[in-house]
Order: sequence, then structure tokens, then C-alpha cells
Amino acid sequence: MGALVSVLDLKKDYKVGETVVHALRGMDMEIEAGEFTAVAGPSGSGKSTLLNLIGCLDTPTEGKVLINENDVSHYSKKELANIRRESIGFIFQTFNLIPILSAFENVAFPLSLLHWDSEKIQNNVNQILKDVGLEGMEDRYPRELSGGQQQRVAVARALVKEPTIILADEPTANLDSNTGGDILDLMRELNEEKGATFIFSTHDPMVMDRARRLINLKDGMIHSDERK
Amino acid sequence: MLFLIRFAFKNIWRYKRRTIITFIAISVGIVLFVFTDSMLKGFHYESVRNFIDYESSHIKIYNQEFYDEMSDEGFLLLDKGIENYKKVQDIISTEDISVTPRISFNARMINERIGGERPFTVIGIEPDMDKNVYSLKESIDSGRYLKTDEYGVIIGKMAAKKLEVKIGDMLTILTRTKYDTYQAISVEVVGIINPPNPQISRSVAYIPLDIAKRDLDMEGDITEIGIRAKDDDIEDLLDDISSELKSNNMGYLTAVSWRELGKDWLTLSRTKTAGSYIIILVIFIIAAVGVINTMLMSVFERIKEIGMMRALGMRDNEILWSFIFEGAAIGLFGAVFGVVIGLLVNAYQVYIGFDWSFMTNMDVDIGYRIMDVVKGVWNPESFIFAATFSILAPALISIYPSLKAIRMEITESLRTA
Ligand SMILES: Nc1ncnc2c1ncn2[C@@H]1O[C@H](COP(=O)(O)OP(=O)(O)OP(=O)(O)O)[C@@H](O)[C@H]1O
Ligand SMILES: [Mg+2]
Repeated sequence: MGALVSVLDLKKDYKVGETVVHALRGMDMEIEAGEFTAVAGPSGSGKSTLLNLIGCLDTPTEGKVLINENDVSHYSKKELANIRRESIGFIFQTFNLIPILSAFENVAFPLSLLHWDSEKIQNNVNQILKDVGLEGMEDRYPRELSGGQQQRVAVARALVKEPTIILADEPTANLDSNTGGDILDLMRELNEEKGATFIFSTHDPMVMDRARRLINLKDGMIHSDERK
Repeated sequence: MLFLIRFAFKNIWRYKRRTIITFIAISVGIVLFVFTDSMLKGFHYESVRNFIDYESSHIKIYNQEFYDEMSDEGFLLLDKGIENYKKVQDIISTEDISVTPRISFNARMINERIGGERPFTVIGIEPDMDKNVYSLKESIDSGRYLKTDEYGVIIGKMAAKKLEVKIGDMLTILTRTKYDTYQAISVEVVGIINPPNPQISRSVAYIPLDIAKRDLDMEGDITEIGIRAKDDDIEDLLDDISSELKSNNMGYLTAVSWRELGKDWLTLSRTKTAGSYIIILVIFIIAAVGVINTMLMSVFERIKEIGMMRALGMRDNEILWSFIFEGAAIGLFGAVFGVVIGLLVNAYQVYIGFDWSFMTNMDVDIGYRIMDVVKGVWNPESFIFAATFSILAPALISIYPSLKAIRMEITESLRTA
């Protein structure tokens, strides 16, 4: 059986006016189910670009991304939206909760998109909010939550539909290091208990320490790749 | 879909103040629209009523030459009258109509006591027949109705004020007879009327038909026959009367409908209506600009959120619909509010009415045959139109910014602040 995610000679160019920026210059990697992977590297090394391509938010210039052995690199926008809806969870640097929805409703949002029935939504959302330590805060709005709590809601939102893979582009960059550490611990816990597959990018050595696999990028290429 | 609708209703409260301002703009638009529509229709119906009741009756019969001269130049030619009008009456009379003869002539009226003078149209009427066709008798304000063969006159309240006369005062009617000789008729003011028609109140006086016949040397002629039918739709009756006149060798007479007689002011009324709708259109445009602004802002402020929702797998058409529903929801609140206020304001206008006497008192001809209080009319279509428009417009307007937002790359949307 193949890997959960396979990246094959992946290249991504951006055109900025006349010049072309080679953000990814040919990358190969495999991510197995249940891995807890950090992508590190200096600013501009291509971390976000890589995560966006794996997350089906963008399509590569060359090369392939396989998710569950399906080549998504030539999918239409609609097909990409379907994959994201069903199989991919996102955690963002700036939390990106919907301000007019309560914690519960924010977590329920991806399930509503999947047309789950309300009883099932109720059960799953309450369970995951308990898992991320927000029991009793279901009815709070994002503005009534601390940054760390908001990111916990975001983690719950990413996990609630039990996606194939969860992508997090610098999930702790907007948090102080203690809170960031807590979020990482939470993600790792969910990884161990639920077997959720995480790929996250970071600048923070403390976050890298908590990863079980660390991929270092440099100038759009893989500089090092180690499992701990 | 249900989820998107619920989501849209939550979203409109994101910026409470802006939403409230927007739906107030929509409501004000609706209220002004239904109010003005009701008012203009009220003006029109009331004017038609007062025109028929006091001026045109339903159909008038004239000597063709008299009618042409009157409509072209405003002259009333007494030598172009109707001879033997009793015979005409016999020809056209059926159970369904009332008829009455009149003599209309131009004159100057002089207050004998203080000498003030004003131009008038004086009408000789047959008191007992006239009241079945026109509403003069019902509008007596002080004094009494005319009696046959008396040297009495009835004038309007506005004219009485201008001439400074009261009941019992003497007026001299200065005019020319059928044979163009000068004639002065001295009459006593026996009644003052307060008709809801400013034309009548301002410059028309009534004397008994016998007096007019005798003192104007009419030799039995009259100038017109007024006919009142059961209702205002008289086109068939008009055709019947016209052919009756022809077949009885009275081709020199013409039967004219109230619509034809009032075509000048009816056209004016239509022009005014069009003008008022332009003002309403401007109000609608102002409201629409507010709505456009709100919808543009609420989409463009949420670019990042839209990117996030798309990242979570929300489809482009779902995003589009959520904004369409959001626009419709704002419109719906505005419509509900506007229709409720509109119903209240219009109920006042329909059952109590507003006083427009400041307009009629200005002594300018506004075309409409209205005085002081005019009541509005219920026009359900104007409410339905305004409400539908208010819901659809914001819904449609929201399509444009939403399309722009979903044409952006997701990664780009997510990078915006
Ligand atoms: N939409 C874009 N248009 C043009 N150039 C881009 C775009 N996105 C990324 N780049 C360029 O591609 C390269 C890789 O960018 P990327 O955002 O993937 O780096 P990163 O490792 O995530 O950096 P950071 O740590 O600052 O987030 C950079 O040189 C960047 O300027
Ligand atoms: Mg980045």
C-alpha cells in the first residue's frame, strides 16, 4: 500500500511581473498515515507553498501530489473543493474563526457543509470540543475567547470531520510560546489518540522539538528529512 | 440551502449599525413610494370626481362650432348654441341618465358696494334639473340654492373672499348678449358654495337659466346639455348619443365625454405623476447606493473569511448563495419594516387624509381639481412591488462582489489582512 500523501518532483513557480519566482524547485516526499510532521526552513523557503499544494488550495506548475494514491495535481477547482471538504482539515496562523458563529457553530461549520444531520453534528462537535479542552465554552463567540482558546476551536474544527490529513501553516506564530506549546501538545495528543495525520510548518525550535518528523526546506528544496 | 439561509440571517447582524442604516434606507424608500403612489392616485381619483361632479358631467352636448371655439380659444359664442334643446332631451333621454341644460358665458363681476372686479364664467342653470347632474346643491356653504327666475347668484367661497362679498350683497354681471351688445345684470348673492373643486370656487358663478336666457337675448337657446350616467365608463353611451343625434338631423351638435373635456388637466396630471415617480426613482437610487455600499463592504471585508471557507471546502456557488440570501435578508427586514410603516402612514392618508389647502390657496392652477383634504387610495400592487423590489435588489446586487471574491485564488484571499 502506498503512502497517504506522495509528493513527486513537485515544482511551483510564481510570476511576479516579468520575473518568475521558483518557490518549489522539485521536491519528493511521502507522508504516512499517523505521522506528525513539521516543515521548517527560513522565510521564503517554500513551506506555505508546499502546504498549500498538499492541501489542494493550489495546483503545481510541475510534478504531482497524490492523496490516497489519487493524483490531485490536475483536478478541477470543483474536484479540489470536494477533496478539501471531505478529506482535509486546516488550521491557520490567524485562527480564522467566523466571528458571528459560536465555538460550537464554528466547529459544526465543516459538518454542515457535508450535510450531516443535526444529531450527529451535535454529538461529534460536543465530543471534539471536550477533547480540545473547551467543555462549557460551546456558546462563546470568538471575541470572548483568548487566542489559545480560539486556536483550540480551530483545531477542533479541523479534526471534527476526521479528515485524512490536517495541515497547519504556522499554527503557533500568533501565540505566546507557552500557549503555542500547549496547542502543539494538544495536536500531538490528538495525533496519538486518534491517529490524525498532521503536517505543520513552523519557525519555532520549540515546536520543531515536539514533531516526530522534521523536514527542513531551503530554497524550494528539501534540505533534510529526519524521523525522531 | 437551509444552512446557508440560517448562516445569511446570522451574517446580517455582523455589522449591526450598517445593517440597520441600510434597512432604514430601504424602509424609507418603500414608505415614500407607497405614500406618493397612494397620494397621486388619490389626487387623480378625487380630481376626476370633482371634475365630473362640478364641471364636465359625464357627457356634454354642444353645438360643434361652440365647442371648437371654446376648446381652441376659450371663447363662449352665444350665437352658436343649441336650439330647441327640449327635443334633444327627448331624443337622448333614457331611464338611466339625467340631463340638464346650461348657458355658459364669460363675464366680469363687480362688487356693487366696493367696486372690486374679477373675470368669471357665469353659468345659467335650471335649479331642479341641475342638481340631478351636478353637485352644486350639496356644496352650499352659506345661504341657499338658486330658485327659478330670481335675480340671484351663487358664487364660490374663494371668489366671495376675493370680491369681498357676503350673502345679501349685490353683484353686477358685465357681459355681452347673443347679439354682442353690452349687458349688465344686477344680482343678489343668495348662496356661497364651498366645492372641492378650486376652479369652481375661484371663478364660476351660477344664475337661474331663465335670467340668462332673457338677459342675453338667447331666444330659447342654451349652450350645452350636461348628462350624468350611472358610472364613469360612458364610451358606449357616447356612441349611442352621437348616432341618435345624427339620425335625427342634429349633426351640428357634438357629444363630448368627460375624458375629452378634461384632456388638458388629465395630461397635466399624468405628467405630474411621471415627475413624482422620477423623484421616487431618485430616492430608490439613493437607497440602492446604500445597499450596494453595504453589500460591497460586507463582501470585501470578508475576503479572508471567504478564502477560509473555501479552504474548508465550501463550494463557490454556496458562497454566492450565502451572500444572495444575506442581501435578500437585509431587504426582507427593510421590506417588513417599510411595509408596516407604509401601511400605517397610508391608512392615515386613506381614512383621514392630508390637508393640501396650502397648495390650492396659492391661487395658481395646479391642474388637479382638489381642495384641502385629499384621501389616498389603497393600492396593494404598490406594496407588493416595493417589497419585492426591496428584497430582490440587494440579493442581485450582492452577486457582483461575491463573484469577484470567488474568482480570487484561495491562497491570495487567505493572505489578505
Ligand atoms: N502568490 C505568490 N506570488 C508570488 N510569489 C510568491 C507567492 N507566494 C509565495 N511566493 C514566493 O515564493 C517563495 C516561497 O514562499 P512561501 O510563502 O512558500 O515561503 P515560506 O517558507 O512559507 O515563508 P514564510 O516563512 O515567510 O512564511 C517566496 O520567495 C515567496 O516570495
Ligand atoms: Mg509561510
